[in-house]
Amino acid sequence: MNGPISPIVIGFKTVTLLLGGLITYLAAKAARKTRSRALTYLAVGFGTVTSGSLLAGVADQLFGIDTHTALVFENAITAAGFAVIAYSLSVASRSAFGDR
Amino acid sequence: MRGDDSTDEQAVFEALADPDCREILATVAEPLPAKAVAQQCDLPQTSTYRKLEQLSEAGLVAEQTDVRPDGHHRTTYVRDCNGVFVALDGDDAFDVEVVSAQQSPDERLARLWARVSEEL
Repeated sequence: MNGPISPIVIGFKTVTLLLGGLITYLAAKAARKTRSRALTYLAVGFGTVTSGSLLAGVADQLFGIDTHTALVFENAITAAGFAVIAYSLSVASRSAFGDR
Repeated sequence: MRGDDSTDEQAVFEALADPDCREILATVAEPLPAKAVAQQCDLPQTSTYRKLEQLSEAGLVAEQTDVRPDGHHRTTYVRDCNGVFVALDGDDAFDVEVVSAQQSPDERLARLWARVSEEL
């Protein structure tokens, strides 16, 4: 444990995880339906950002990894996730309907 | 179109090529029984039934059962699409997509993301 975290931070983190999870779920559902590679990358990207945020919190709170390291870890995963999301656009742009 | 069914594709093209079908499609914004469709479009009833059948096979019009208190249920027809996209998909195939009137959130996300990528 690295000291108490303000309820506001916990609240925003919870909303972030819920909404990130929802977007990931919808993208995965759309990807399965349309068998679109672009949407698969979108789902993977959002899933990465969301789970990175969750894992960093878990690492920080449960395993006592210092907050600075957890922040570096979280931001590295966020960057990787957004890279995948950006890549999904270049896959999608090859077909009008998102690469059926 | 989902499932890459070439007959569905053909059905959509044929239905939209028919001026009477297009008029019917424009008319059934509200659920209407076939008789009312025939009246409003000024078409004979037999061909109205045939064309409604054609439209519903193409997935452009949906059949509904109107449950009425007197027990005499009737079939109504209502438009089931907001439009149709046709694209050349790579080298040989046409990609036909009927945009359904009732889109689920994941379908909206797919369409939205495809639209973002089209702007690149």
